[in-house]
Amino acid sequence: MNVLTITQLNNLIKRTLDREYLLKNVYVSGTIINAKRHSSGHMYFSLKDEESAIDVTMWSSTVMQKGLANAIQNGLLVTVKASVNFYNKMGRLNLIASDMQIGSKSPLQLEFDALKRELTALGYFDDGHKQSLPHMASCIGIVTSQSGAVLHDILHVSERRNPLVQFKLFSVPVQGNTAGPIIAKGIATADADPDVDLIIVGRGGGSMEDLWCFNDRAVVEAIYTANTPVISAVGHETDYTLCDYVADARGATPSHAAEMAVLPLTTLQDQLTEKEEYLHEYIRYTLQQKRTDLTLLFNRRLGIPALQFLHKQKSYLQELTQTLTNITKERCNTEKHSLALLAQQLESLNPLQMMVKGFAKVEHNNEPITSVSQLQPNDDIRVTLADGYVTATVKEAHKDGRITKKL
Amino acid sequence: MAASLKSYEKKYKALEDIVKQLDDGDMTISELLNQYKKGLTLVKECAEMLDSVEAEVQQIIEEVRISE
Repeated sequence: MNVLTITQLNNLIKRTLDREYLLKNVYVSGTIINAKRHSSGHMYFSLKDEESAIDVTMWSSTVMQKGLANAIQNGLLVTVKASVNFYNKMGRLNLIASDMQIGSKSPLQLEFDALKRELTALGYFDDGHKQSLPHMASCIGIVTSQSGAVLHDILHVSERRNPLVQFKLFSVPVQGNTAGPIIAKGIATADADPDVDLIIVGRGGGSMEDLWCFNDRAVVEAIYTANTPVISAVGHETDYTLCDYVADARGATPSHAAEMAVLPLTTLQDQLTEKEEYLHEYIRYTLQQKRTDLTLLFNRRLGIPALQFLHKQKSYLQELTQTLTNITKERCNTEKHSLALLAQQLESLNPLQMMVKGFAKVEHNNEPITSVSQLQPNDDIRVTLADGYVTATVKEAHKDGRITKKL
Repeated sequence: MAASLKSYEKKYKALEDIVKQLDDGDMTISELLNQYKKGLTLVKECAEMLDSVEAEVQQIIEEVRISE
């Protein structure tokens, strides 16, 4: 069996712990006990839960840097950011805390949370109830203290952006137990003023207690029921009051609220120019559209039907021309046909045709012979056939089979 | 244009009459030739009239399109 020295054992423990990175950066929460402050400024205490405890050291540099000198009190529930440290010499383990969050809340914060929950449930902070800010407020009501920097900041920003915007101050106290209802009344008065078309409720930065009057239920109700849009500019950017939640818009600072409320004059001029250009463009476009419509209408209803009508006329004309020619040709054909028939008829009467068929022309003394009675035996006759003639002498004449004349 | 259209109708009517006459068939061949020639002249005149009106319509359509 290998026997270790204490030093060897402690070194082994330290090396083992150092290898575990998880232990170098832990968040651990517990209740402070045995808090002691060393004369050097280091704080020593323990954190415990129901079953276990561990020693914690916070070096004076951390205490100073985080401003925790008076915060570390026995019984406080806290969360520390720490690394686990093993002290070889004494074989002790503790936490070295590098930051601390106080876990419990102030009574004021608890009250704020409760009121916020209640009013949220009642719908006071619904987005759907919020109004949009006027594009160009002409008179802005400022509900704030007459003496505060808020008024100065808002007027300064506004003057620079648009000197034409007017302001009405509704002076109210912005701090103290009784300020809430007075602020609420100031908001209602501004809302009732017919000139005012936008309200800014404002106050400079301060502690939660200082800003508390802006969590007053009366203030929340006054903003909720106001018909005029309200911008809240209470405290610094990180401070939130119920006034901020219920307002239609929140300015991170009074100057920011003024920027939201007052557009620069140049921007308004630019917007006007833009609108003017849009109008011109719109008119141009509309005219163009109408012209196109008209052209289409003309072509579709007038131009094209006119051309179609003309084409129809042309086709009538073509048809008529065809008919004219056809009739004329037909008539000519008919005439030709008749002529041909006539010619054929004539041809059939041609004596030569008869000779072809075997008939002959008989002549005596250049007289055509048409009857046997014209001839006597020994008469010389000429017999003409299709291709020539012969001469002959009559031997005997027969009429209807009887010999009438004989040599 | 109204006058020329009117004379178009007249010419067309005359052409129709010639066709009808020819169709009836009671005319001499020399008359036939004369009437046929007359008919073709009318056809040519009518076609020219239609062409000129069509060209004018086409031109108007082009003008309207250009002015868009």
